[in-house]
Amino acid sequence: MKTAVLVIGGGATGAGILWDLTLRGIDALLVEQRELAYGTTGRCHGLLHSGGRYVVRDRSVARECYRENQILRRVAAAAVEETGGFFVHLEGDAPVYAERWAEAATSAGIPFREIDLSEAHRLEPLLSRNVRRVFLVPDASIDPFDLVMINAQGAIRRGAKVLTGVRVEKLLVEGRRVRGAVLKDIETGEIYSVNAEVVVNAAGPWAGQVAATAGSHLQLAYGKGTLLVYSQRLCDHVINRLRPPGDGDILVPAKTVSLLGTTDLPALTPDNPEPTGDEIKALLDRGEELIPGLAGRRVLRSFAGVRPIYDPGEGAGRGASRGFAVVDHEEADGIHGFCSVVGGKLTTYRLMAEQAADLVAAKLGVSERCRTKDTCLPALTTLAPVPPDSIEGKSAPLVCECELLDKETFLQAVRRLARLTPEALLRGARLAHGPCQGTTCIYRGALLLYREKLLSYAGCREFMRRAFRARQRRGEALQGDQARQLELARGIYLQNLQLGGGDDEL
Amino acid sequence: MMNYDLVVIGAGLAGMTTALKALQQGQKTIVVAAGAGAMEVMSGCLDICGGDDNPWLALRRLVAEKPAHPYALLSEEEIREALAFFVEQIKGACPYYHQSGFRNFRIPTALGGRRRACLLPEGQLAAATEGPVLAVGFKGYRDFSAELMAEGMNRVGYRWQATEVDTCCLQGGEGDGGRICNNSVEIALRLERSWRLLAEELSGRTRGFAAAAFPAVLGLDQHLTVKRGLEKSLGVSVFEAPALPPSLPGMRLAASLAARIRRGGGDLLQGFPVVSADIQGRMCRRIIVATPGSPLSIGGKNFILASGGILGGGILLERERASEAVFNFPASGFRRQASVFQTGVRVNRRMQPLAADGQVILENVFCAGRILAGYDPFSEGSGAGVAVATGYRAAVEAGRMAEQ
Repeated sequence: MKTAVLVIGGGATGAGILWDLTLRGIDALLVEQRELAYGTTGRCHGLLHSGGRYVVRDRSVARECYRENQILRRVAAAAVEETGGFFVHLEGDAPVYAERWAEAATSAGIPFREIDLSEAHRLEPLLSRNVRRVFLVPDASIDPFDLVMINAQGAIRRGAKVLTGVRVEKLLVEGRRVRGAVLKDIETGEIYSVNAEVVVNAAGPWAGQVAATAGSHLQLAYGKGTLLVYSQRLCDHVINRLRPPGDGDILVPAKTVSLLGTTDLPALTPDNPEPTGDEIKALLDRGEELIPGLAGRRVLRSFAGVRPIYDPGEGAGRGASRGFAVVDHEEADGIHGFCSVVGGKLTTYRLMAEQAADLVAAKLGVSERCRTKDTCLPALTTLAPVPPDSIEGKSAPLVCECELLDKETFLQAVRRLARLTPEALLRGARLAHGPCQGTTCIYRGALLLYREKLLSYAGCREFMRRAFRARQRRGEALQGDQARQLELARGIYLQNLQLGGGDDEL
Repeated sequence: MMNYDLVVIGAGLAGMTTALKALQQGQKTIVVAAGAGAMEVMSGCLDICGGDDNPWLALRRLVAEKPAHPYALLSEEEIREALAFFVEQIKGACPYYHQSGFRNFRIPTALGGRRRACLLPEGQLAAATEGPVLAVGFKGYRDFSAELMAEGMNRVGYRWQATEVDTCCLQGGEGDGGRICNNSVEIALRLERSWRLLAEELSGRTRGFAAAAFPAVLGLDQHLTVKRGLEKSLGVSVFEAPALPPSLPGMRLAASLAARIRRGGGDLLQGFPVVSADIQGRMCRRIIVATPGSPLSIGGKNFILASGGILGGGILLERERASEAVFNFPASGFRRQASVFQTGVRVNRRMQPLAADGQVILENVFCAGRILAGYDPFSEGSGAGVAVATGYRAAVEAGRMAEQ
């Protein structure tokens, strides 16, 4: 296999680079070890920062965020919901911080407006009555899954290729030049190589491991962040606590749910981050201060992501920079045809992609300039036509009643997936995301995919088994009605349907 | 204030069994429940212990593994006696069947896998057949695939085939406008009127088969008429394969048990939660039920706590602790990884609730069913057995207490 550019990593950065390169007419292939948005991208708040969060500590990052915020509202409108955001100063928070914040925002050029408390409570009725000042900023909610998908789809339509479920075993190095990579299909185990003139490492927290296979060293620190997903949309604006960034101080509305986060703990590896009880407790306690009663509301699930932090000098944690770096390994360690993009944040993914693509274009001698600032990403569409269905009558029946996911929409989402692994179906087709956590739709969705011949008999059972198991891992956040729901699902999947694993012997 | 010999809290399998036994003993009995029992969402087939075709072997292994299991409080003889009592009581409108020695049946799941079950309702009895089966699905019905079930069974050597019928044979109501009927309860109610149309639609297709399998939607109150009628018309045995709730087999069982309790002279107050209990020393004197208007006070000599586990609402899982909902008994097993669902109330051999130090908390309260600590019905296949056997035992203990 051959390509001009090999992009490693199917998060926002990798997909953004693919889109950018494709717009410049450069032939590119993206490989992702699991599913698109599997890593850090799919495990964040989905907050399109106005920059307000960083304005006191790092004005240049704040400015960068605001500029990108304005661009993405335009070009990635399909994934953005223009919610606006609150910065709320609660009684007991240092008043001087609010003043410093307002000054810094003014000098950074981030627009904000202080609003009356009565206005604030009218807009956000659940907000604490202990609020003393509220500033309105242009934060927004952005769907990270859709964002990656539209970047990838836009690129694919223009001829780029995307391979998921393919891991980079090692980079192919000849002398001091990277020539491509050895890839492994994680389902079949097949190993093959791809030749590329330039390789871009956008593997997020795994970037260090990828670079190491070429003998390059990237000093990355890992910061684990845990988030809670609430069963409802508890607010219509992003709500930020106006104080130095800490645990559980941002609540983001995302479609029908809300996300509270995050924590920040050093992590040793980028793999399988799990929320701990202490983190969840910290989130609930802090969140309770913003929205009284939050700790008792229904948490659908908790999850954790790993932030890759590139700043060897300063270490991890909130003190570390949220900036990013495009590393040209030719300069850094004399290895040609290879660059890495590290650090950064979802809000600045496009800028990271632009700078990486600039470097790649220079290496290839291509003079086309970046067009992602002005080219709108496509709205999500299906890649294959959905066959008309004469059987089911006039209205499409629902697969998921929690999120009103109808059959046609579900099948369209499924057909967009490169491969139908249980993980891809859960994440890519957004099954089992509502309050019932898949009790109904895992079974119903699996039956539908079997009927449509998209899953075999064994595939259908395996999907149900693995999807149920994935939804069972709830750990420390399990309480109240959510625990009842899970016990009901256990009754159905373990008893009625015998998907616990013990049935094979019968 | 209303007064009873026995006040049963909970209308699930355990509470209903207790009430039936108490009524047989001549105790004046009422069942009070916040809602429906969990059996209304489960499959309707009842198991004592999975893991082996001989449930008693599996049960002995289970108790050896988990000495705190509720089964450890009972002898096999008592469990058999309780099951026989249950089968005897439920005869008529919703009959259940078992093999000799209560050996487990092997029956197919809706996915074409297989499971064990000890007591089968009439609607699932023919599922144990080894002969060729025609699986029948309804076009457009989301919750069952005849083809999937048949493929699963054929993969392990059975001879099944699948077919589909149009839902037009179910369209009983007026003004449907071609709407797809997708709700299992709605289909069940329609079939009570129009099962003959279904039989006509299937006529000729069942030749050569021993049985026909359907999703579990063959009627509610009239389910025996539907099932037996189809069997007569089609010339084959008919059985149902339960999957998602709402569960018609579970609803039929619950309705039959409730009717049996009323016929036996018992009272049933369903839909209202118990909000508090009046305790004097180590005795419960009365409970307060949140009925509309003013709360209702119900006095009793003895009380049965059969309010269910986490699913039923008897055990409340909170952020920092687990608690028992009515008497605030300590719930053991909380937050020990992987055993969240074994959280429950610890009891002695008389089914009385125990404090952490092993002391009896209330002498005239007896616990039964999913409220008990130390077991997981869904991984063990032990839910119905524990419910029926501990429910029976609780009634016997309450009866003894009443005699003293």
